Amino acid sequence: MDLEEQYDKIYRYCLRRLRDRAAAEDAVQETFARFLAAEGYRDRGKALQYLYTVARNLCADRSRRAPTEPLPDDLPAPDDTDGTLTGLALRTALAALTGEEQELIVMRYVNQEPVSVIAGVTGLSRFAVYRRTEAALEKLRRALSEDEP
Amino acid sequence: MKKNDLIRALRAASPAPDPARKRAFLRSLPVPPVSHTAFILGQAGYVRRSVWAVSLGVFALALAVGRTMPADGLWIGAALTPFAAMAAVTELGRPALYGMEELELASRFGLRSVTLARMGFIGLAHLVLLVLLAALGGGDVLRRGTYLLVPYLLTDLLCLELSRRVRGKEALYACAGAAVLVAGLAAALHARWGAYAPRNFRWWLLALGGTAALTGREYSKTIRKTEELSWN
Repeated sequence: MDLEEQYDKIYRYCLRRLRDRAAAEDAVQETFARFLAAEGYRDRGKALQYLYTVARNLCADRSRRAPTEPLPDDLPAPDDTDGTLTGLALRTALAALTGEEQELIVMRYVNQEPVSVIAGVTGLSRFAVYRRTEAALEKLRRALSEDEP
Repeated sequence: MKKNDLIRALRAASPAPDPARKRAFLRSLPVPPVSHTAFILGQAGYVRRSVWAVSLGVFALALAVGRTMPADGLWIGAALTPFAAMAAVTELGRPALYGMEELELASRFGLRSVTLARMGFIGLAHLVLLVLLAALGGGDVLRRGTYLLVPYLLTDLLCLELSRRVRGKEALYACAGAAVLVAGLAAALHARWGAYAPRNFRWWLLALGGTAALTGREYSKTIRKTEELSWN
Protein backbone atom coordinates (compact mmCIF):
# COMPACT_ATOMS: atom_id res chain seq x y z
CA MET A 1 0.00 0.00 0.00
CA ASP A 2 1.34 3.42 -0.97
CA LEU A 3 1.04 5.35 2.28
CA GLU A 4 1.66 8.70 0.62
CA GLU A 5 -1.20 8.25 -1.82
CA GLN A 6 -3.51 6.92 0.89
CA TYR A 7 -2.61 9.88 3.11
CA ASP A 8 -4.03 12.28 0.50
CA LYS A 9 -7.16 10.21 0.06
CA ILE A 10 -7.87 9.85 3.76
CA TYR A 11 -7.21 13.56 4.18
CA ARG A 12 -9.85 14.43 1.55
CA TYR A 13 -12.26 12.02 3.18
CA CYS A 14 -11.71 13.46 6.66
CA LEU A 15 -11.86 17.05 5.42
CA ARG A 16 -15.28 16.39 3.92
CA ARG A 17 -16.44 14.87 7.21
CA LEU A 18 -14.82 17.35 9.63
CA ARG A 19 -14.77 20.51 7.47
CA ASP A 20 -11.62 21.75 9.15
CA ARG A 21 -8.14 21.42 7.66
CA ALA A 22 -6.23 21.11 10.94
CA ALA A 23 -8.76 18.66 12.40
CA ALA A 24 -8.62 16.63 9.17
CA GLU A 25 -4.81 16.49 9.31
CA ASP A 26 -4.97 15.33 12.93
CA ALA A 27 -7.56 12.69 12.08
CA VAL A 28 -5.47 11.38 9.16
CA GLN A 29 -2.38 11.07 11.30
CA GLU A 30 -4.24 9.31 14.08
CA THR A 31 -5.83 7.00 11.49
CA PHE A 32 -2.42 5.98 10.19
CA ALA A 33 -1.00 5.55 13.69
CA ARG A 34 -3.88 3.19 14.60
CA PHE A 35 -3.72 1.44 11.24
CA LEU A 36 -0.01 0.69 11.55
CA ALA A 37 -0.36 -0.39 15.18
CA ALA A 38 -3.07 -2.95 14.30
CA GLU A 39 -0.67 -5.27 12.50
CA GLY A 40 -2.67 -8.49 12.86
CA TYR A 41 -5.79 -7.12 11.21
CA ARG A 42 -3.94 -5.09 8.62
CA ASP A 43 -2.04 -8.05 7.16
CA ARG A 44 -5.15 -10.16 6.73
CA GLY A 45 -6.14 -8.35 3.54
CA LYS A 46 -8.72 -5.59 3.03
CA ALA A 47 -6.15 -3.07 4.30
CA LEU A 48 -7.75 -0.19 2.43
CA GLN A 49 -11.17 -0.97 3.83
CA TYR A 50 -9.71 -1.14 7.31
CA LEU A 51 -7.96 2.21 6.85
CA TYR A 52 -11.20 3.89 5.80
CA THR A 53 -13.10 2.27 8.65
CA VAL A 54 -10.62 3.66 11.18
CA ALA A 55 -10.86 7.11 9.57
CA ARG A 56 -14.65 6.95 9.46
CA ASN A 57 -14.96 6.05 13.15
CA LEU A 58 -12.42 8.69 14.16
CA CYS A 59 -14.16 11.40 12.15
CA ALA A 60 -17.54 10.38 13.55
CA ASP A 61 -16.15 10.64 17.12
CA ARG A 62 -14.58 14.01 16.46
CA SER A 63 -17.60 15.53 14.76
CA ARG A 64 -19.80 14.33 17.63
CA ARG A 65 -17.49 16.04 20.11
CA ALA A 66 -17.20 19.28 18.15
CA PRO A 67 -20.07 19.96 15.72
CA THR A 68 -18.73 21.05 12.37
CA GLU A 69 -19.09 24.36 10.63
CA PRO A 70 -19.57 24.52 6.87
CA LEU A 71 -16.37 24.57 4.88
CA PRO A 72 -15.24 28.15 4.39
CA ASP A 73 -15.61 29.47 0.88
CA ASP A 74 -12.01 30.61 0.75
CA LEU A 75 -10.73 27.06 1.11
CA PRO A 76 -8.07 26.87 -1.59
CA ALA A 77 -8.73 24.52 -4.45
CA PRO A 78 -5.81 23.26 -6.51
CA ASP A 79 -7.33 23.94 -9.89
CA ASP A 80 -9.72 26.82 -9.85
CA THR A 81 -8.98 27.97 -13.35
CA ASP A 82 -11.47 25.73 -15.12
CA GLY A 83 -13.38 27.88 -17.58
CA THR A 84 -16.77 26.22 -17.24
CA LEU A 85 -16.95 25.48 -13.55
CA THR A 86 -15.34 27.20 -10.60
CA GLY A 87 -14.19 25.23 -7.58
CA LEU A 88 -16.38 27.47 -5.45
CA ALA A 89 -19.62 26.49 -7.24
CA LEU A 90 -18.67 22.84 -7.06
CA ARG A 91 -17.87 22.97 -3.35
CA THR A 92 -21.11 24.80 -2.62
CA ALA A 93 -23.12 22.21 -4.53
CA LEU A 94 -21.23 19.39 -2.80
CA ALA A 95 -21.89 20.92 0.63
CA ALA A 96 -25.63 20.97 -0.14
CA LEU A 97 -25.67 17.14 -0.39
CA THR A 98 -26.37 14.95 2.63
CA GLY A 99 -23.45 13.62 4.69
CA GLU A 100 -23.82 10.14 3.22
CA GLU A 101 -23.95 11.47 -0.34
CA GLN A 102 -20.83 13.54 0.22
CA GLU A 103 -19.04 10.53 1.69
CA LEU A 104 -19.97 8.37 -1.28
CA ILE A 105 -18.98 11.03 -3.82
CA VAL A 106 -15.60 11.60 -2.18
CA MET A 107 -14.82 7.90 -1.88
CA ARG A 108 -16.06 6.85 -5.30
CA TYR A 109 -15.26 9.77 -7.59
CA VAL A 110 -12.61 11.88 -5.86
CA ASN A 111 -10.61 9.05 -4.29
CA GLN A 112 -11.61 6.53 -6.98
CA GLU A 113 -12.09 3.67 -4.55
CA PRO A 114 -13.67 0.43 -5.78
CA VAL A 115 -17.34 -0.14 -5.02
CA SER A 116 -16.42 -3.24 -2.97
CA VAL A 117 -14.29 -1.14 -0.59
CA ILE A 118 -17.00 1.50 -0.21
CA ALA A 119 -19.58 -1.21 0.44
CA GLY A 120 -17.34 -2.72 3.12
CA VAL A 121 -16.78 0.62 4.83
CA THR A 122 -20.34 1.91 4.72
CA GLY A 123 -22.10 -1.41 5.31
CA LEU A 124 -24.20 -0.95 2.17
CA SER A 125 -24.62 -3.55 -0.54
CA ARG A 126 -22.60 -3.06 -3.72
CA PHE A 127 -25.77 -2.36 -5.63
CA ALA A 128 -26.88 0.24 -3.05
CA VAL A 129 -23.47 1.94 -3.26
CA TYR A 130 -23.67 2.07 -7.04
CA ARG A 131 -27.25 3.36 -7.04
CA ARG A 132 -26.67 6.00 -4.35
CA THR A 133 -23.41 7.32 -5.82
CA GLU A 134 -25.03 7.67 -9.20
CA ALA A 135 -28.01 9.45 -7.63
CA ALA A 136 -25.71 11.78 -5.64
CA LEU A 137 -23.72 12.63 -8.73
CA GLU A 138 -26.90 13.36 -10.65
CA LYS A 139 -28.09 15.61 -7.80
CA LEU A 140 -24.76 17.44 -7.91
CA ARG A 141 -24.96 17.82 -11.66
CA ARG A 142 -28.50 19.21 -11.43
CA ALA A 143 -27.49 21.70 -8.72
CA LEU A 144 -24.63 22.93 -10.88
CA SER A 145 -26.85 23.24 -13.97
CA GLU A 146 -29.30 25.39 -12.00
CA ASP A 147 -26.43 27.67 -10.94
CA GLU A 148 -25.22 28.15 -14.50
CA PRO A 149 -26.36 31.42 -16.04
CA MET B 1 -22.40 18.97 -17.85
CA LYS B 2 -21.23 15.49 -18.80
CA LYS B 3 -20.58 12.92 -16.06
CA ASN B 4 -16.88 12.57 -16.88
CA ASP B 5 -16.37 16.36 -16.89
CA LEU B 6 -18.05 16.59 -13.51
CA ILE B 7 -15.86 13.81 -12.05
CA ARG B 8 -12.75 15.51 -13.45
CA ALA B 9 -13.84 18.82 -11.93
CA LEU B 10 -14.48 17.14 -8.59
CA ARG B 11 -10.96 15.70 -8.55
CA ALA B 12 -9.41 18.97 -9.63
CA ALA B 13 -11.22 20.88 -6.89
CA SER B 14 -10.33 18.45 -4.11
CA PRO B 15 -7.87 19.99 -1.65
CA ALA B 16 -4.52 18.41 -0.82
CA PRO B 17 -3.02 18.17 2.67
CA ASP B 18 -0.27 20.47 3.92
CA PRO B 19 2.81 18.98 2.19
CA ALA B 20 5.28 19.86 4.96
CA ARG B 21 3.14 18.31 7.68
CA LYS B 22 2.46 15.27 5.55
CA ARG B 23 6.16 14.76 4.77
CA ALA B 24 7.17 15.12 8.40
CA PHE B 25 4.50 12.65 9.50
CA LEU B 26 5.31 10.02 6.87
CA ARG B 27 9.00 10.27 7.73
CA SER B 28 8.25 9.67 11.38
CA LEU B 29 6.31 6.48 10.71
CA PRO B 30 8.06 3.29 11.77
CA VAL B 31 8.64 0.82 8.97
CA PRO B 32 6.31 -2.09 9.70
CA PRO B 33 8.31 -5.27 10.43
CA VAL B 34 7.92 -8.18 8.03
CA SER B 35 8.27 -11.80 9.13
CA HIS B 36 10.73 -14.09 7.31
CA THR B 37 7.91 -16.20 5.93
CA ALA B 38 6.00 -13.17 4.67
CA PHE B 39 9.20 -11.82 3.09
CA ILE B 40 10.04 -15.08 1.29
CA LEU B 41 6.46 -15.57 0.11
CA GLY B 42 6.36 -11.94 -1.01
CA GLN B 43 9.54 -12.42 -3.04
CA ALA B 44 8.13 -15.59 -4.62
CA GLY B 45 5.46 -13.40 -6.15
CA TYR B 46 8.14 -11.40 -7.99
CA VAL B 47 9.67 -14.44 -9.70
CA ARG B 48 8.77 -14.18 -13.36
CA ARG B 49 5.99 -16.41 -14.61
CA SER B 50 8.25 -17.53 -17.44
CA VAL B 51 10.60 -19.13 -14.86
CA TRP B 52 7.75 -21.18 -13.43
CA ALA B 53 6.44 -21.96 -16.91
CA VAL B 54 9.85 -23.21 -18.13
CA SER B 55 10.36 -25.22 -14.93
CA LEU B 56 6.96 -26.89 -15.07
CA GLY B 57 7.25 -27.43 -18.81
CA VAL B 58 10.65 -29.11 -18.49
CA PHE B 59 9.55 -31.36 -15.65
CA ALA B 60 6.26 -32.26 -17.33
CA LEU B 61 8.10 -33.12 -20.55
CA ALA B 62 10.69 -35.19 -18.67
CA LEU B 63 7.88 -37.02 -16.86
CA ALA B 64 5.97 -37.67 -20.06
CA VAL B 65 9.09 -38.99 -21.80
CA GLY B 66 9.95 -41.15 -18.79
CA ARG B 67 6.47 -42.69 -18.85
CA THR B 68 6.22 -43.27 -22.57
CA MET B 69 9.82 -44.37 -23.22
CA PRO B 70 11.08 -46.06 -20.05
CA ALA B 71 14.34 -47.14 -21.69
CA ASP B 72 15.36 -43.65 -22.78
CA GLY B 73 13.58 -41.71 -20.03
CA LEU B 74 16.68 -41.57 -17.84
CA TRP B 75 19.01 -39.79 -20.21
CA ILE B 76 16.32 -37.62 -21.79
CA GLY B 77 15.23 -36.44 -18.34
CA ALA B 78 18.87 -35.73 -17.49
CA ALA B 79 19.24 -33.78 -20.74
CA LEU B 80 16.16 -31.66 -19.99
CA THR B 81 16.85 -30.58 -16.40
CA PRO B 82 19.66 -28.12 -17.37
CA PHE B 83 16.98 -25.86 -18.88
CA ALA B 84 15.15 -25.65 -15.57
CA ALA B 85 18.44 -24.75 -13.89
CA MET B 86 19.06 -22.09 -16.54
CA ALA B 87 15.63 -20.54 -15.86
CA ALA B 88 16.43 -20.40 -12.15
CA VAL B 89 19.83 -18.74 -12.58
CA THR B 90 18.59 -16.17 -15.10
CA GLU B 91 16.18 -14.98 -12.41
CA LEU B 92 19.23 -14.28 -10.27
CA GLY B 93 20.72 -12.05 -12.96
CA ARG B 94 17.57 -10.01 -13.61
CA PRO B 95 18.65 -6.88 -11.67
CA ALA B 96 21.93 -6.81 -13.63
CA LEU B 97 20.13 -7.41 -16.92
CA TYR B 98 17.94 -4.34 -16.45
CA GLY B 99 20.62 -2.21 -14.75
CA MET B 100 18.69 -2.17 -11.47
CA GLU B 101 21.39 -3.51 -9.12
CA GLU B 102 22.14 -0.15 -7.54
CA LEU B 103 18.48 0.55 -6.88
CA GLU B 104 17.93 -2.93 -5.45
CA LEU B 105 20.90 -2.48 -3.12
CA ALA B 106 19.51 0.81 -1.84
CA SER B 107 15.98 -0.46 -1.28
CA ARG B 108 14.40 -1.58 1.97
CA PHE B 109 15.25 -5.23 1.36
CA GLY B 110 18.78 -5.41 -0.04
CA LEU B 111 19.73 -7.33 -3.15
CA ARG B 112 21.39 -10.02 -1.02
CA SER B 113 18.22 -10.85 0.94
CA VAL B 114 16.11 -10.71 -2.21
CA THR B 115 18.53 -12.99 -4.10
CA LEU B 116 18.67 -15.48 -1.23
CA ALA B 117 14.89 -15.52 -0.82
CA ARG B 118 14.17 -16.00 -4.52
CA MET B 119 16.89 -18.59 -5.04
CA GLY B 120 15.77 -20.44 -1.94
CA PHE B 121 12.18 -20.51 -3.13
CA ILE B 122 12.96 -21.53 -6.72
CA GLY B 123 15.54 -24.08 -5.53
CA LEU B 124 13.03 -25.63 -3.14
CA ALA B 125 10.34 -25.76 -5.83
CA HIS B 126 12.78 -27.41 -8.27
CA LEU B 127 13.89 -29.90 -5.65
CA VAL B 128 10.27 -30.90 -5.02
CA LEU B 129 9.72 -31.28 -8.78
CA LEU B 130 12.93 -33.32 -9.17
CA VAL B 131 11.94 -35.63 -6.32
CA LEU B 132 8.46 -36.01 -7.83
CA LEU B 133 9.97 -36.71 -11.23
CA ALA B 134 12.36 -39.29 -9.77
CA ALA B 135 9.55 -40.93 -7.79
CA LEU B 136 6.93 -40.92 -10.54
CA GLY B 137 9.31 -42.07 -13.28
CA GLY B 138 9.48 -45.59 -11.85
CA GLY B 139 12.56 -47.69 -11.05
CA ASP B 140 15.21 -46.81 -8.50
CA VAL B 141 14.39 -43.35 -7.08
CA LEU B 142 17.95 -42.69 -5.91
CA ARG B 143 19.40 -43.52 -9.31
CA ARG B 144 16.88 -41.49 -11.22
CA GLY B 145 17.27 -38.59 -8.79
CA THR B 146 21.05 -38.62 -9.19
CA TYR B 147 20.86 -38.71 -12.98
CA LEU B 148 18.54 -35.69 -12.91
CA LEU B 149 20.40 -33.73 -10.25
CA VAL B 150 23.92 -33.95 -11.71
CA PRO B 151 23.17 -32.05 -14.96
CA TYR B 152 20.93 -29.64 -13.03
CA LEU B 153 23.70 -28.80 -10.57
CA LEU B 154 26.33 -28.67 -13.32
CA THR B 155 24.25 -26.11 -15.24
CA ASP B 156 23.68 -24.14 -12.04
CA LEU B 157 27.41 -24.16 -11.41
CA LEU B 158 28.33 -23.00 -14.92
CA CYS B 159 25.59 -20.37 -15.07
CA LEU B 160 26.55 -18.89 -11.71
CA GLU B 161 30.20 -18.73 -12.73
CA LEU B 162 29.26 -17.14 -16.07
CA SER B 163 26.85 -14.62 -14.52
CA ARG B 164 29.65 -13.38 -12.27
CA ARG B 165 32.00 -12.94 -15.21
CA VAL B 166 29.67 -11.73 -17.96
CA ARG B 167 27.19 -8.86 -17.50
CA GLY B 168 23.73 -8.07 -18.82
CA LYS B 169 22.14 -9.84 -21.76
CA GLU B 170 25.37 -11.64 -22.64
CA ALA B 171 25.11 -13.50 -19.33
CA LEU B 172 21.69 -14.77 -20.38
CA TYR B 173 23.02 -16.04 -23.71
CA ALA B 174 26.08 -17.56 -22.06
CA CYS B 175 23.83 -19.35 -19.56
CA ALA B 176 21.60 -20.65 -22.34
CA GLY B 177 24.72 -21.89 -24.11
CA ALA B 178 25.88 -23.66 -20.95
CA ALA B 179 22.47 -25.33 -20.57
CA VAL B 180 22.58 -26.58 -24.16
CA LEU B 181 26.15 -27.82 -23.62
CA VAL B 182 25.20 -29.77 -20.47
CA ALA B 183 22.07 -31.15 -22.15
CA GLY B 184 24.25 -32.27 -25.07
CA LEU B 185 26.75 -33.80 -22.68
CA ALA B 186 23.95 -35.71 -20.88
CA ALA B 187 22.80 -37.07 -24.24
CA ALA B 188 26.34 -37.88 -25.39
CA LEU B 189 27.05 -39.76 -22.16
CA HIS B 190 24.23 -42.09 -23.12
CA ALA B 191 24.92 -42.34 -26.83
CA ARG B 192 28.70 -42.79 -26.78
CA TRP B 193 29.61 -44.25 -23.42
CA GLY B 194 26.43 -45.83 -22.04
CA ALA B 195 27.03 -43.92 -18.84
CA TYR B 196 23.52 -44.56 -17.47
CA ALA B 197 24.21 -48.26 -17.00
CA PRO B 198 23.90 -49.41 -13.35
CA ARG B 199 27.60 -50.35 -13.22
CA ASN B 200 28.57 -46.70 -13.69
CA PHE B 201 26.31 -45.40 -10.93
CA ARG B 202 29.16 -44.88 -8.44
CA TRP B 203 30.71 -42.35 -10.84
CA TRP B 204 27.40 -40.51 -10.91
CA LEU B 205 27.33 -40.42 -7.11
CA LEU B 206 30.85 -39.03 -7.17
CA ALA B 207 29.78 -36.43 -9.73
CA LEU B 208 26.78 -35.54 -7.59
CA GLY B 209 28.99 -34.92 -4.56
CA GLY B 210 31.41 -32.84 -6.63
CA THR B 211 28.80 -30.71 -8.40
CA ALA B 212 26.83 -30.17 -5.16
CA ALA B 213 29.95 -28.95 -3.34
CA LEU B 214 31.06 -26.73 -6.22
CA THR B 215 27.54 -25.28 -6.71
CA GLY B 216 27.37 -24.47 -3.00
CA ARG B 217 30.70 -22.67 -3.34
CA GLU B 218 29.46 -20.76 -6.39
CA TYR B 219 26.31 -19.64 -4.56
CA SER B 220 28.42 -18.49 -1.65
CA LYS B 221 30.70 -16.54 -4.05
CA THR B 222 27.71 -14.96 -5.79
CA ILE B 223 26.19 -13.86 -2.50
CA ARG B 224 29.57 -12.52 -1.34
CA LYS B 225 29.76 -10.54 -4.55
CA THR B 226 26.46 -8.79 -3.83
CA GLU B 227 27.91 -7.86 -0.40
CA GLU B 228 30.94 -6.34 -2.12
CA LEU B 229 28.65 -4.38 -4.43
CA SER B 230 26.78 -3.11 -1.41
CA TRP B 231 30.06 -2.09 0.26
CA ASN B 232 31.21 -0.21 -2.85
